[in-house]
Amino acid sequence: MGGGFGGKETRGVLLAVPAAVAAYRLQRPIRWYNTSK
Amino acid sequence: MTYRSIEPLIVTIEDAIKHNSFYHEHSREIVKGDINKAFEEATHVLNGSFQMSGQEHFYLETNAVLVVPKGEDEEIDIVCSTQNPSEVQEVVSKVLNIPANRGKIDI
Repeated sequence: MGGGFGGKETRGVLLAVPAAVAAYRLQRPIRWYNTSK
Repeated sequence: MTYRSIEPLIVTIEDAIKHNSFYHEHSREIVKGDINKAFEEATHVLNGSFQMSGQEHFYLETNAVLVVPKGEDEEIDIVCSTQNPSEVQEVVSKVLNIPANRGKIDI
């Protein structure tokens, strides 16, 4: 229930871009996830 | 954690008015028509005040991304925790200097 508060509006980019740079340079898949800590 | 007591304590509009605490450089106005004339000509004029509380959501969800370069034509697949895949596509294409359509963004 609930949601749509905008929490994922811009934060996704902060993870996607560095991971994309690394993946692109190395030509290897990269996975990055933050735990709730 | 260290806590400090900050004086004066200003948490409501009334506190701000009392302590003359204003952001003059950020003032905004909404002006349309002639308000005084409208009040003079109105059948009824009501006065009062209304308050409601605001609530800011604390975003708890974890963030994650999986990036898979396809190895052909600079294509790159990105699975990302975002509600704005268009922005991810645009920014990644700018940073990597590849056409935006090389990025396939999934959520």
